[in-house]
Amino acid sequence: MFAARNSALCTKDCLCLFICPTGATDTENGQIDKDKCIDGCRLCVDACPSHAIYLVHTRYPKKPQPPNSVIEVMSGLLERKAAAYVEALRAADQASPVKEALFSSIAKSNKVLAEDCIRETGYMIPEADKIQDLASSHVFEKLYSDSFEGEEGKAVTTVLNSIVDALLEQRDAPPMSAFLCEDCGYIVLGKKPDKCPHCSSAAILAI
Amino acid sequence: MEYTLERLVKTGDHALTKAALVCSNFEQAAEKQKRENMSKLFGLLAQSFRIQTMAREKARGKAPSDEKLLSRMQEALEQDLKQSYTVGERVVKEQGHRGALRALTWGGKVSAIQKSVLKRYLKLGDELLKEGQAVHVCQACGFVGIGDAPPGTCPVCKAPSSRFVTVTRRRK
Repeated sequence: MFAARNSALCTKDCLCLFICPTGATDTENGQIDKDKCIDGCRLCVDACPSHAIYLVHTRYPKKPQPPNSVIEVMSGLLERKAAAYVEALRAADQASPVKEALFSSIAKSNKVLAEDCIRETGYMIPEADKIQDLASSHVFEKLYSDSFEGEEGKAVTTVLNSIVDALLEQRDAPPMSAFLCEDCGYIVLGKKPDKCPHCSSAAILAI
Repeated sequence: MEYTLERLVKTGDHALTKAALVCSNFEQAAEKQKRENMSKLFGLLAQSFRIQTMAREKARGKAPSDEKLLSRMQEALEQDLKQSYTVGERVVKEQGHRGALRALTWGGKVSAIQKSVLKRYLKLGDELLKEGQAVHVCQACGFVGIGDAPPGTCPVCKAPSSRFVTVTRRRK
């Protein structure tokens, strides 16, 4: 457990600086240095006059699986909202300015609705066993290799494995050098490519 | 058959889109857990799957006309409100699952609001967005509102204005 600051609430009274035994609350970026923060100490949380500091947990309980009938309702609705999301995204593409604003807002709205369905299907937070199952099913790799012929999706495997390792050890993943082609979605790990190895686009995004 | 993420993604016609949404949901959860690198990795997968979805959609040919699209969107919302939400609410109430009931309550309201915004667009056309106005979308529940600024609190879920994203009309 470590402390974090909600800068939207912080009134800069700096009582957290007075009370912190390690100096973790005094940083240049407005966030608390979690490496210096003492696990579960919470002195700053109680001292803060504006209730801007809270504790972030590193261990999370296993989320209960909803009853099957609830999963069926929510996954059925997910299917419909996912379809509506894509339809709105497509409609926003190359539309006139007002239409673009309207449809991309509808797309954003549908994204929230669809993600909410996913959460209530029992996937609120990434959990080690569930992501492990997902990784060993290779469903993401299969989707990826359908899009990029001749690709096994090794980059996807590497990313998922890094996430699973971190979840098993209840920590953040190590930083990874990753690049994404904005035109086709191809992923490159490691060194930045000059152009996309799949579609030759120069629109490469560093993650 | 057991319910797993694999099954959730694979069942139906929108596997790529759902893969993107599963990942973007975890991206946000990991961010709140202050696992920044994990959040970025989920975000990378989410973006990749979203771009792949759009590439596949475009490869399927020209987008349907606006009239067709708008009426299809409205029909889908109509059916959601008549069927999916009403039946769904009955089922989750029987199970006493208040989390799902909360999602359905918000989702039903947001779907009705989406439908009325589309109807207003059909009536007003580009006048829907007057000078200086923008569309504000609540990131907690999906509420869509048009105005100069986002509401102080979301009328559907009571999230503060800081939870809204603003979509402005693109400048020519």
